[in-house]
Order: sequence, then structure tokens, then C-alpha cells
Amino acid sequence: MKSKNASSLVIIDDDVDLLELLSSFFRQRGYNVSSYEDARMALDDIESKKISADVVISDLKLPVMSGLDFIKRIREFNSVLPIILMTAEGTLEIAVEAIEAGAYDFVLKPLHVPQLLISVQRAIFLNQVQAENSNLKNFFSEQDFLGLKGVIGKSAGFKKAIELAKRVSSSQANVIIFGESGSGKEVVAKAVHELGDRKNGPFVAINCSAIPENLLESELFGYAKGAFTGAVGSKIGLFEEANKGTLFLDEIGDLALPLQAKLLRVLQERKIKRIGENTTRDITARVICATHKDLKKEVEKGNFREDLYFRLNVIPIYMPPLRERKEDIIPLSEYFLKKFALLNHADIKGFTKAALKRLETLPWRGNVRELENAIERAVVLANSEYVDVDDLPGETQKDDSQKNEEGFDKSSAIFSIHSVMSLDEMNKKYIEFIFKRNGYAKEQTAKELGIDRKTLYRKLKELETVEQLTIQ
Amino acid sequence: MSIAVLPEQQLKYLSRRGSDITDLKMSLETQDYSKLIMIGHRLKGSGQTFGFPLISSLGRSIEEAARLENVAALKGLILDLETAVEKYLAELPQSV
Repeated sequence: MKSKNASSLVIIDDDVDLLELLSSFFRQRGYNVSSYEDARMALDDIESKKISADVVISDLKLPVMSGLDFIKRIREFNSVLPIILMTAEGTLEIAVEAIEAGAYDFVLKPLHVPQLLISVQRAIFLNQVQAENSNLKNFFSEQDFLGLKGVIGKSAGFKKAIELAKRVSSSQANVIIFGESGSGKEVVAKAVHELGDRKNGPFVAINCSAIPENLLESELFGYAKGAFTGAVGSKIGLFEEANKGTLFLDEIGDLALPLQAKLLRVLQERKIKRIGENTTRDITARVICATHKDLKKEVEKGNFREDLYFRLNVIPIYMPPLRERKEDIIPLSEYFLKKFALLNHADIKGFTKAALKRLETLPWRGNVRELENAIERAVVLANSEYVDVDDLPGETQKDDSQKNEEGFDKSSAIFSIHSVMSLDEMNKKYIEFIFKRNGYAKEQTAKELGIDRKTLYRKLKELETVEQLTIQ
Repeated sequence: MSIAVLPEQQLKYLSRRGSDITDLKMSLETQDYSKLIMIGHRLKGSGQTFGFPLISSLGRSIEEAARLENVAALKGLILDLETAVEKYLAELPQSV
């Protein structure tokens, strides 16, 4: 009787004694074994899928079809099936010939059967890793919209954004993408890059709000050796790194005014100078910017330069928030489910009807990023093959005016205390509040809290631990 | 002895060597050296696996002697093989 989840072994040897011994040995260890004295019959059965094969063990010297010929024929239609060759001829030439023909391993007779077992186990592991790798590659290379990898959406607003990205992809005009945090502005930027004639060049992204101003300048423009304390060597900046490609400046609305002036000059003259150098260098990178802010209002407040605003706002692309793309919620959820199930080796098949309904009704203020985080969490914590409502964020998210946690008034986004709590608890709740308010954007949260990302990660991990203990 | 082989499997292996010995003698008589090489090669590859290193060693020698068509050596080796199989059979546990 075949075991359901056992690996399948094919053994080929015209030595009946060895064939029986090996078949018995591996069956006792839970393998499904198909045994043959004739390699041609084994080949026919494998090719026609009459039998399944995870590993083949074959003698080298066989009547009718040799082990080497068997390998060559198998490789015509299966390039990855591990084949272990056995032989009493222990010459180097034969070993090399076997490996070059595509054998996975080469073992000498008389056999040390436990050693053969190790070789089989390794071959099966390799097979599994190769299959997983292939699945992951196929998944991430799936082209979903306009031939773009992993770009999911059918809503009118989303399609409009991507189609506009396509139209401007090969032009040199400045593009600025507007959209809420987590709405997919980088997806649009990548679409502009991938659909245009710069697709073979680099795509370099930086979040302008995540890096302190003094560091941001050196990141963007690079520096010469000795330009400042700590500059022990020269470094090229992101403008140069993105030459012949695209430089994506996310959260451009957070750029400090002095840097805005420098950026404006770069966009006008298409030249940069590394810090501490006099040499000007041409840049060929196309610059795409993005922001969640209303730049017009920022200009009125004096936080953003008007001349830079006009320079950037040649082709504005608006990425709608997820609540305006309701028909994309399920396709996105299914995509993330597949992705995280693969990455976490989880046997999750889909969502229950109730879960699908919950997904469509939640407000997703953190947009696609929040949705992705929620699905990842659901896949990791799900107790069955289908993600259910209990695996998803609660319905209290739905009501804006409701306080969903003690101490938080979500409608006014103000952190207020309604009962006494310990300093530690208050700390944790405040971090969680800011994190959620920023749509689970870690960089933005760290900046607002005035801590570095490492500290934030540590604190978020503590929060997860508390939540898991609560779930348990 | 290989830990993979059970005594009953060893008994079966040794029992089948009888027909090998018969084939070897006939092949020597008819000067069918390719068959002698084939049987010798098979014994070389299997004997030790079943816990009978002497059978592997004799198999190697039979194969080499057959390639050289050394009749005298082959006669002696076939007799040695017969003796080795009898000896191993006698050494097997009585319960098998």
C-alpha cells in the first residue's frame, strides 16, 4: 500500500538480489518504491507518469539501456529529478562522466546501504528545495496587469493610475505620485520604470522622511574622501547610482527646505556635485517623486518651495486609497495569501465566506500595506486551512467614532487617557496607536516617535509577543 | 556486516549463488568469457553489501581473470567461491 505523503523512489538494477534488498530496505523506512531490472521500462513509466519519482537509484551497467543512457533520456524531459548511479567500476573517468551526464550522486558497489540512504535523503531535500524555489519564482514572476509583476487591481482608479504610468513611462517629464501612506505609490513608480525604456537600468528608492537631513544629503549626492569627519573614503550618491535608471524619492513632502533647493537645481541642470568636491557630474537618472501630503497646502504654509512644486508637478498621478478600490481588496488579499503561504510553508487554501465579507467591509486606513500586514498575520496565526474572521482585524475598526482601545479616541486621532495604566502599558499603547495611524509604516512611525528603527522593531516585537500570549 | 541486511536475506542471497557457480563452470567450459566477466562483476558489487566480503573479493578476481582469459586461475577461483558460500551458509544462525 502506498503511503500518502511518502517520497517515491525508483530503483533500477539487473542484480535481483540487490534490487530486492534495496526495495525492502527503503520500504521499511516509509518510501514508496518502484523497482525495475530494465531501465527502459522505468523510463517509459516515469515519462508517462504511470509512477511518480522523487529520486532514482540506478545501476550504471545494465543490459539494453545503460545507467548513463537512462540519465540522458530522463534529462530530455526532466532536468531536476535526482538520479543516483551505482557501480562497481570506481574510476574517476566514470564518475566524471556520470556527473556530467546529470547524475546527482555516484556511489560505489559493494554498497554501504545506510550511506545510500543518506544520499537519497539529501536528494529528496534538494528536490523539495528546488520545487519550492520554482514555485516561489513562478509566483513572483506572475504578470498581472499590463505585464507587470505582482501589480494587482481592476478598479477604475487603480487602472487609471497604471495606464497613465504606462503613457509617461518613456518620456522624460517629471512625475509626482500622490496618495495616502500605504496606497501603493512605489508600485506606480516601479510601473513607470518597468514599462519604459529604462527598465534595464537600476530602480533606486529612498524614503526622504526616514533619514535625517544631514545624512540624506550625503546619501543623495555622495561625498569625497575627507569631506567631513568619518568620510574615510569617497561614496557615490543615489543620483549617480540610478544613472540610466530611475531614482524614486518617496515622501518628498518631508524634504527640508535647504535640500529642496538643491533638488530643484539638480532637476533644472541635470548635474550634481558630491559633497566636498568641485567636479560637476551629469546625471541621467529619471526622478520620480511621491508624497502623501497636499503639496499645494504645504506651499501655502511655507513648508514646500513653490518653484520646486511646479517643477515636479508636470505629470501628477493619483493613487487612490484602498477604500476607493473596494473591488481590488479580494484579489489583493488572495495574492498576499498565496505569497505568505509560500513564504511560511503554510497549507492555507483560502478564505472563508465570512472572512471575505470582513475583508471587504474593513476601512483599511493603512491601505494596501495594512491589508498586506493583516493577511501575513492571518496566514501565520491561522489554525486551519482557511483564514476565518477571527484571524482578521476586528469589526471595531469599522466605526470611526468608536474608541477601539482604552485610551484612544480614533475619530480625532488623539491619544487620550481614560483610565490609570502603568507607564509601560501606556508606552506600548502609544506606540501601537502611532503605528496604526501611520498605516503600519515603520519608518514614519520611528521618525514621529523620535526613535531609531531598531528600537521600534524591538518594541513592536514586544507588542506582538503580548498579543500572541493574549490569543493563547 | 551491513546493518541493513537481515539473516533471511543473507540466506536467500547465498542460496542463489549455487546457480551462479553452475553458470560459472559452464561458461568456463564453453569459454564464454563475457558471461564470466558479467557474473564476476555482479558478485564483486553485491557480496560485501550482504555481509560477505570474501564473495566480493572473489568476484573481482573472477572478473579480472576472465578479462585475461586465464583458465587456470578461473578454475581455482570458482572452487574458492564454492567453498566460501558453503562456509558462510554454515555460519548463518540456525534459526534462519
